[in-house]
Order: sequence, then C-alpha cells, then structure tokens
Amino acid sequence: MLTIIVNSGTPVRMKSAVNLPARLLVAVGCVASLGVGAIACGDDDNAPIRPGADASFDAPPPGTSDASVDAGPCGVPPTATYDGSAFATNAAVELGLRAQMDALLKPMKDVETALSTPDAGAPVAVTAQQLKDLYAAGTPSLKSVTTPFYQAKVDAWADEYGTAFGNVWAPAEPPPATGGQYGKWIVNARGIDLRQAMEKGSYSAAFYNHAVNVIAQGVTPVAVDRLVAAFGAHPSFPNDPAAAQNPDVNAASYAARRDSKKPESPGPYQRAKAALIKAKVLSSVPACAAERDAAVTAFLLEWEKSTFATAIFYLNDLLQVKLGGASPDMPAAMHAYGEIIGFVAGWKTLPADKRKVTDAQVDALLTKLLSPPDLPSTGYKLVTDTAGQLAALQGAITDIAGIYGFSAAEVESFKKNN
Amino acid sequence: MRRNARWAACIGLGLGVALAGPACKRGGGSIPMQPGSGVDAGSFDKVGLLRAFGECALTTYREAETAIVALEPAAAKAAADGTPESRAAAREAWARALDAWEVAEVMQFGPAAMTGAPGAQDLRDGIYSWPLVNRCLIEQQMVSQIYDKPELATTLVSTRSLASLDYLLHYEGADNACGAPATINAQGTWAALGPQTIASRRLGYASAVAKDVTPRVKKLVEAWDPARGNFLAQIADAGKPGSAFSSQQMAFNAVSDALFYLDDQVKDMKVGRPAGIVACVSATCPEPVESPFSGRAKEHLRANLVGFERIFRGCGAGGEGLGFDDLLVAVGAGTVSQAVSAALAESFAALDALGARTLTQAIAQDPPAVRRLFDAIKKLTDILKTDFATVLDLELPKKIEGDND
Repeated sequence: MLTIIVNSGTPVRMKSAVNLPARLLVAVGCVASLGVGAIACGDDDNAPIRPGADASFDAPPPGTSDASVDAGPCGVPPTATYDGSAFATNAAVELGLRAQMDALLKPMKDVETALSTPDAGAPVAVTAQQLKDLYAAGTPSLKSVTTPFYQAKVDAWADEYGTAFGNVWAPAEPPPATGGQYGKWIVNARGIDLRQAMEKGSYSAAFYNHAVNVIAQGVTPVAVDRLVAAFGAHPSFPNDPAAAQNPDVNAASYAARRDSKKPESPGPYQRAKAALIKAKVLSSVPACAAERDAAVTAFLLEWEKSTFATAIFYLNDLLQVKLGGASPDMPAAMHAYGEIIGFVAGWKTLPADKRKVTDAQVDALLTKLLSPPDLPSTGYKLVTDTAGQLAALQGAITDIAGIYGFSAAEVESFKKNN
Repeated sequence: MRRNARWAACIGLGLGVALAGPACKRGGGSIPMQPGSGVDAGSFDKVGLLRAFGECALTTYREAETAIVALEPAAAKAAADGTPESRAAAREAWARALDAWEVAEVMQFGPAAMTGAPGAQDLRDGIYSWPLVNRCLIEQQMVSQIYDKPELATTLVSTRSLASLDYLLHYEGADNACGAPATINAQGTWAALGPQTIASRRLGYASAVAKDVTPRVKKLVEAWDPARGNFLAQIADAGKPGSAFSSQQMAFNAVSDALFYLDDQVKDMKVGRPAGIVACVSATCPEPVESPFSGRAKEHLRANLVGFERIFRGCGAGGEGLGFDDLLVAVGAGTVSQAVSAALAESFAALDALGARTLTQAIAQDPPAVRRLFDAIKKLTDILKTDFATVLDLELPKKIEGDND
C-alpha cells in the first residue's frame, strides 16, 4: 500500500532556483518508489505544491505554469524523464498500427517518388483494392481503430486513387470526371491529394480515436506508453521528426514543428511531453487519479491544438506562398490543401467529450475550405479561380484561432516550422 | 548558440588582429559586457541614440507619407481619363512614393515590423509587400473587379500595396500570367474584356490600391507621432515601464534586426537571386527582379542603401546626427565603424558603376559588374554579422524557415 505524506497548504513559490535539485531528488525518489511500497514524499519545506487540476479541456496544460509552483501530493517535477523501459512491449499494438499506416502509405509514396525522379521509369501501379487491403490488414487493423466516418472516407479515397492512377489531372470548371497525376502527386477529380487526406486525417480519426479508447480502458502505466506511441512519439521525446534516433512521427512530428524547442517557452510538443510524463508517474497512484486524468486531458488537448495549429501553417503556406506568393506552385498547393483537409476532417465524429472542436465547427471549417460535408469538394477552384477562394481560406485561419483562443502571436508562430 | 557562433566569428573572421583585441575582450578588456545586457558605452547617450533612431524612422515615414498622398490623386486622374500624360504622371508619382518608401524598408522596427517583434503592428506589408506580388491573382481580381469594393483591403497583400503598382501602372500588354486552367482563361472572361477594358481596369485597380495604401502609411506615421501613438517615446524610453522594449539592448537589437534587410532582401533577394548567385538553378533568374515592369530595381537598391546609411551614420544630411557609428566609436570600436562606412561607400560605388542600365539589363549585359555589387553588399553584411554584432553584443535576427515536408 502506498502512503504519501501530504503537504498541507496553498501553492508555495520556490524561494530560489537553488532548491530545485533537492526538490528533484525528493520527487525522483517518490517516483522511483511508487512501485515498491510505502514512502514519505512530502516532508520538504519547499516541496512543490499544485492546486487540484481541472480536468476540463480548457484547463491550462501541465508544463505551462510556473515551474517553481508544482504539484503537491501528486507532484511531478518538470524535468522528470519518462520511464519507457517497457515501451516496446506495452505499446506493441500502437507501434504495429504505425507500421500498418506506413505500409498503407508506402505504395502511394513510391508513386510520388517515381513521378518526381528523373529516369525513374513508370511508377508501379496501385489499385484501390490494394489500398483497401492494406488499410484493413492486421489485428487490430488501422481501419478498425478508425471512426466509421473516416473509414468510409478512406475507402472512397482508395477507390478514387485506383481510378486516378495512370491519368493526368487537368483542373477545369466543371472538374474532370476522374483525378490523376498533378505534379508528383495523385489527386482526385476535385483536386484533393489522396495520400495526404488519408494520412493526415488518420492521425486523429485512427490514432487519436484509438488513444481515446485506450484511455477509456483505464490510465495505467501500460496505457500511457500506448498513448505516447499513438501520438507518434517515443519515450525519449526527441521533439524532432528528423532525429537520428526514434524520430517523432505522425501527429507528434507536427507538434514538434509547432514547438519552439525552448524550455522557457514550451510549445505543444513540450507540453504534451510534460503531460505524458505526469500521467505516467501518476498512473500507479490511485490517490492521484484526478491529476492523472487532468494530465491525460491536457495531453489530448495539446495533440488536438497542435493539429489545428498545423492546419494554420498549411493555410498560411497556401495563401502566402503556393497560391498567393510571387511564384505560385499549383500542384504543391493542392498537395498542401489535401493535408489541410485531412488535418481538419479527421476530427469529425470523434468522441465529443474528448475534444474541443465540435462536429459543427469541423463542418463549418470544411465548408470554408471548399469541402463541405455531404457535398462534392470544390477544392479545384483553388487552381481555376484562385482569387475567388482566398478570403474563405483566410477566414478559416481566423475561425481556428477563435475555436482554440490562439493569440495573434501564436498564430504567427504557427506559420513557420521549427 | 548564436552568441557562441558570433564569438567564434569574432576570433576567426574579425577584421584583423588589431580589431579583434577591443572587439572581443569580453570580461577582460575594454568592453565590459554581460550576456544580452548590451555593451558598456560609458557616458555615451544611449537614450539619445535610440531617440535618434525613432526620429529617423518617423522622418522617413513622413517623407513616404507625403509622396504616397501625392500618388493617390495622380492615380485617380489616370484612372479617370486614361491619357498617356496622366498615366505618365501616375507612374512618376509612384516612382517618388517608392523612392521614399524604399528608404524606410531598412527601418522595419516597431509598428512596421511583423507580429512577434516589439511593438509590431504588421503595418509594412500593406504599404509595400515585395517580394509578395502575384500578377495572376491581380489579373483575376481585375476580372472580378474586387478592387472596386471594400474587400480589396482584406485581399492578399500580394494583390495590392505599392508593389502591385509596378505591374498595374506599367504593363501595357493584353495577356495575363494565369495558366490555361484558370477560369479567366478557360471561360474566356479575360479575353472578353478586350485590350481597352484591360488597360482601363489596370488603372482603376491602381487607383484603388493607391487609395488603400494612403491610410496605411498615415496609420504608421500616427503610430510614431509624439502627438498620437508616440511609439517614439517607447523606443527612447526602452527599458522603462510601458515601453515595448524591456531593455535598451532589446531596442538596439530591433533596430539592428531591421538593418539586416540589407542581407536577406537586398543582397540575396534583390541582387543575388536575379543575378544567379543565390538560390537560382539556371544561369540567371531575372524574373524575381524587383519592379520588373518599371525597371526601377536599381533605384530601389540605392534607396535601401540610403536608409541603411541614415540609421548607421545619422539621419541628417551627410550623416549628421547620432547613428550606430557613434556607438561603435564610444565602445572603442571605431575601426568597425570605419569598415562599415567603407563597405557602404563601396556598395554605392558598385551601384553607380552599373551606369544607366536597369538591373535586368546589367544582369544580362555585364554580370561581373553585378557580381561586384553583390560582393560589396556582402562585405558590408558580413561585417554586420560578425564584428558589428559582436562588439555591440547584438543578436542576429531569426530567419523564417520553410516547410520541411
């Protein structure tokens, strides 16, 4: 049985940064001892105290508060590292899903490589059935962990990919009957980059959805490892999609791009990391269930916010560079457009109490993004009538900022990669 | 890390052993410094220098305001009567406006700066958005005539600002830059306009742009005006409560960052790229030349150098008034000041050496001369990146990176 001596009182500000090592030792000692039995962890006068966390989606995420005012009975020092000693075992299912995603994307990426490499020869044909089989492969399959809404989307896009392969897309008003090659990418008849839409939407429709289901089964140490993997991260948290070791992938890679990398001003990746570390430590402490759940909620919110921050990145890239810049690049614009559609659409029908954005907001955004629900996309108009569509795209940035309360400075910061 | 790089540069790339002494003696020599706190300039009037920077910016913005205000009626007259004379007058008014604004390009600190910088209000792009100019979008908006509606103010900056007037006032062809799939071509709406309507819409659009820019430059002047927004006090009072700058050093950094316009915009974008020296896969890339339709890129470069000179040497005639050169002398780095002045003079001379040719013509006819211009500006910006930044303890500006997907 675990015993924690609780330090009473309200939040206490550290008197000096010099005290930090002592606090860390105490905290690490607590953490290290969680699995072996009783330990007293609250007898340091300077022990970090944190008020009870609000588990709502609007609660400030861990890691964003003053580091000198940390949690009390359930405190986790901000510099604690993640215990990932059993990560590969614990997260085998999620790592398998990541591999299945890679397998689904590989034939499409091979096509893009062939189309962009001089003298590479004709790309190897990709059929709709091949993609559908890859999507449904494995137990669980990528498809099985995906929301039914997005399953139908991916299946339909797979059909469109099979039809588009071997054609050349010629944007026009009205749009052509089928999609095809546009630049080095394969788009559907409406101009949506099919691989991008499948991939970027699956980060949320499949992996976030799966993470929510894992959480529903109980936030154990094993479960937190699974969340890390579902996010696309690794216990070493490189905060770098190009890291030599265990680079961030999927949603985590985009959170890393939106992160300043500066400890003094943590971005979404560092905040997600802090939340996961906290959740991991507290996942074995029944008395700290509320703080553990708050940490998990904060992690999910950072995941969601970084996804929509990334949508802002691509929207700005479209507006200022690929469509509106001095040297427009229409195929690259449609490639980015496909990413945006995926980043946004993947959130539709996810469990409503586990996200901030609502289905109505997603629908409104998709409408502004020329891909309204239940109607064919008019994304091709970005090519055929560029000037007429830009105000709506600009409006989408404003709407996303409004949904999440992003400040003007935050929106600006999202417009660059880190 | 950047600081370490600068100190390494100080050791390895300094102007020479004689200079490296005073410039690099952190903590043990003549220039006591704390990291990020700024250089100790003794009794030198740092407040006065910051005020001088602010006054220089305000003076320069007011000059631009005067010229831009004069552009508006000239553009309106050209749109109204469309005569060659009125169009020529509008072109001349635009040239004067841009001559004035290009001086201010090197003064993008405070309200003119982009969000994220101290006191930034993003006011620059709405006045002059180069290199963001998108001819095809402008032409689509000529067809839709959105320029005649209030919505023009919220369209992409690449379709308005003084930068768009290079095309709108100077191009006389009946073609457009959009591809065949674009609706204006696919549906024939552009061709249906006919050459006369195209010409009149260009002038109508130009008039609307001039009208849109005027309040923007006024807003910038008002933001600095001591009787209005008084940003002048904010930079002069850097480090005091209420200032956008938490320290004097932060203000010096902001002004220094603005000077680096000479590096990425002037050296690389305006000269290096068109000349095929920077980021160009073919022999030359003349299409990104600034103001290609008016052929005034060279005049813009001169104005940029003038703007730099005003901040570095002093804003008055002949370098009268306080500038960074005075601060350099005060900290014992007069040699650095002399080196910057010499490189600046060399840049002016290299620009003069292009003669009467436009920059585009010089790139085609005399690449070595353009290379000498590039090298002269590079010499200047190399000093800014190394000795100048080091001895004044300035941070180098952050660069915006692109998509890495």
